[in-house]
Amino acid sequence: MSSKTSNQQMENSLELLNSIRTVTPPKDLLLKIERKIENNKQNVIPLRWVKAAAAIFICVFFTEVYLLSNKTQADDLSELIVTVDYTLYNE
Amino acid sequence: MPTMTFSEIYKLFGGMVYNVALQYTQNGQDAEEVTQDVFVLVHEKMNAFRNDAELKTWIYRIAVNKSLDFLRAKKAVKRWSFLSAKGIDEKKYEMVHSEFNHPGVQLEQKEALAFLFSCINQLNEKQKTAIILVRIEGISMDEASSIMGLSYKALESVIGRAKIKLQNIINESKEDE
Repeated sequence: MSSKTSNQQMENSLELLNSIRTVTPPKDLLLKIERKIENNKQNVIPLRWVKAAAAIFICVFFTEVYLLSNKTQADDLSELIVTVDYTLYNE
Repeated sequence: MPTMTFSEIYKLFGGMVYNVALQYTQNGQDAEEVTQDVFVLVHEKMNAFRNDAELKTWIYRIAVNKSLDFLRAKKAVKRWSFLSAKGIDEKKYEMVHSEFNHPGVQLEQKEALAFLFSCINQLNEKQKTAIILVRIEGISMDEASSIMGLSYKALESVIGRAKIKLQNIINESKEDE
């Protein structure tokens, strides 16, 4: 019974929401929207430029990785040469 | 692709979006901002539509999501300001201090509705949306369930839980007084 009463009380409270009137938006709102759309168009970077920049970045990155890995191999080789040094010392 | 131009779409649905945004923000200026965001997105994506029948549901969905995004962003800003203001009960702050400036509310109802909305604001997003769409906007359960992506039964359940939670919030606030 108490849950029914509580439900009724809730319904009575929510009845208040029926008194809210529909509001007409401001007359200049469409103009503001159109201006915002125009601004967004000007700020957008063309997708092909973004793709080109991404492609260049990836190429540079992998080039660096390749060069670094080659340099490491070259260093290892040069160390080997040093250790296998056949220089004769004057006795 | 819809047969209507963008300005025709705005004329048809502008009022609807503005009022939905008002129910979430309870503030004319904020509702304007949300409405602008909604229609900018509508303009970007409107060519994706096959027929006008889906358009209303789709626009409602965007209006709900943009309104919720706006509220989340606003809450985040408020949360940061609380870090510097110690000892303030955030819940009480929400209940008492309100930017309640709903132009659809008559003066004599303002205080009562400001209180009711402060309670509705404490519901979770799903519950708040269900109450706004069905009880304030007067949308049918079928349409509301379509907008929210829920089954009819699920929406009924959400509204039922929302009412119980609202009652608890109202009772707690009366106890605090």
